[in-house]
Order: sequence, then C-alpha cells, then structure tokens
Amino acid sequence: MNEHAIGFVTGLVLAILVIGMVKRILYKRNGKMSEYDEMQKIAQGMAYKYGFLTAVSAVVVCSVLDILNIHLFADDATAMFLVLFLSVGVFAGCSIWKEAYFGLHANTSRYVRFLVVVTAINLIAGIQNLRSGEMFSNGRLNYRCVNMGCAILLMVMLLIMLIKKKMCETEE
Amino acid sequence: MKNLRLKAARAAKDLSQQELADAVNVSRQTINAIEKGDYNPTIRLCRAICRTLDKTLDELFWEDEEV
Repeated sequence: MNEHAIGFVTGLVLAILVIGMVKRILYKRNGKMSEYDEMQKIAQGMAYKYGFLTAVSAVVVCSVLDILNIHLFADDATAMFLVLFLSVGVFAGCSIWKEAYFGLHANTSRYVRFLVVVTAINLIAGIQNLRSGEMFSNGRLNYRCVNMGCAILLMVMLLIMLIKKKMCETEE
Repeated sequence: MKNLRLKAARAAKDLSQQELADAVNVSRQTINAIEKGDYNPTIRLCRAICRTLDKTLDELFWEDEEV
C-alpha cells in the first residue's frame, strides 16, 4: 500500500469517526435520539425512491456511454461520486421540501450551522483545486472535484432549507 | 378537502399548530398538512388529536356524504 492509499484510507476512517461524533452531539445532547412522525416517514420513503431512481438512471446512462466508448466529462470514479451526490441531493432535497429531513427533536439550527461550516470547508478546498488546475486531467474532471461537488450539494440543500423556512413563516 | 373542523377545534382550545403537534408528538408540518387536507392521518394519530382536543373521531374526521 503506497502513501497515497494510506492517506486516503486514513481520511476516510477519520471522516466516519467525525460523522459519528457529530451525530451524537447533534442528536443526543437533549437526551432524545432522532425520531420521525408518520408523515415524515412516508415522505422519506418517497424521497428514497426518487433518490434511488435518480442513481439507477444516472448509472445506466454512464454505463451505456462507457460501452459506446463515449467519454464522459469525468473519469470513472469521479462520475460515480457525482452520481452519488446527485442521488443524495434528490433524497435530501425532497426530504427537506416535505420537512422530513430533520427529526422531531433535532436541533435544526445547530445542524444548519454545522452544514454551513462543512460547505465552507469544501468550497474553499474546491476553489483551491480549481485555481491550481488540479481538478482536470486529460480534459476530464478527476476526483479532486469531489470537494466542489460536495459544496454545491450542500449549498443546494441550504438554499432549499432557506426557501422552505420563508414559506413556513407565512403558513399558519 | 380542508379539515376546517380540526382547525376550529384547535383554535377553540387556543392551541397553535406547533402546540398541538407537540402534544401528539408529530411535526407542525403534519398538523398543517392534515388541516389543509394534504395528508390522511392514521387512526392512531386521529385518536391522539381527538383526545387532545376533547373531540370524537366523528366530530373531527367523519366526512358527511354530499347529497
């Protein structure tokens, strides 16, 4: 295993540990784990369905283009990451729109602040990669565009949350 | 079809959507959707709402057939 692979695996393990810790902080501080009501569960089911169908459709398109030897705008692994972002974005977007993304006892404002920080970190890394030209190799996007993709996904999620919040203020 | 009877019963008890939602352990959006007629609640939730508002299922959720 070379240094690059060790660094990648270490980063991945650290990310999983950080996600676990953040989840505990966001949901367990008030003594209640995330809980969803019956309408939220139905909405999440629909959101999962749309996210899954998006992922399947995108993978089929990428595979067919690859079989036909039509080069995509991104290399193979990157294309899969972008498909992942797309399907997660569809799931999260639908869930947020139906107010099924946050549980009943979730601390929404703390979660949003966390998302803003993660978005900023990814955006800075993405802009650095874009400016240094490392985001492209052989005219195609490579894995270094993942930060920018993640930042765009999170910005879209935050935008939907903002629109939904504005709509809810005048609802009752 | 909008559930105006639920809205009226909630208002009579001087409860906001959020307060009713907290009382029956659902989100405010769920109560809002029921009142707007966008969501058909389960019988379990209907009963919880009726208990909170001191109403019967008939009074809040039974729809009379239009002649």
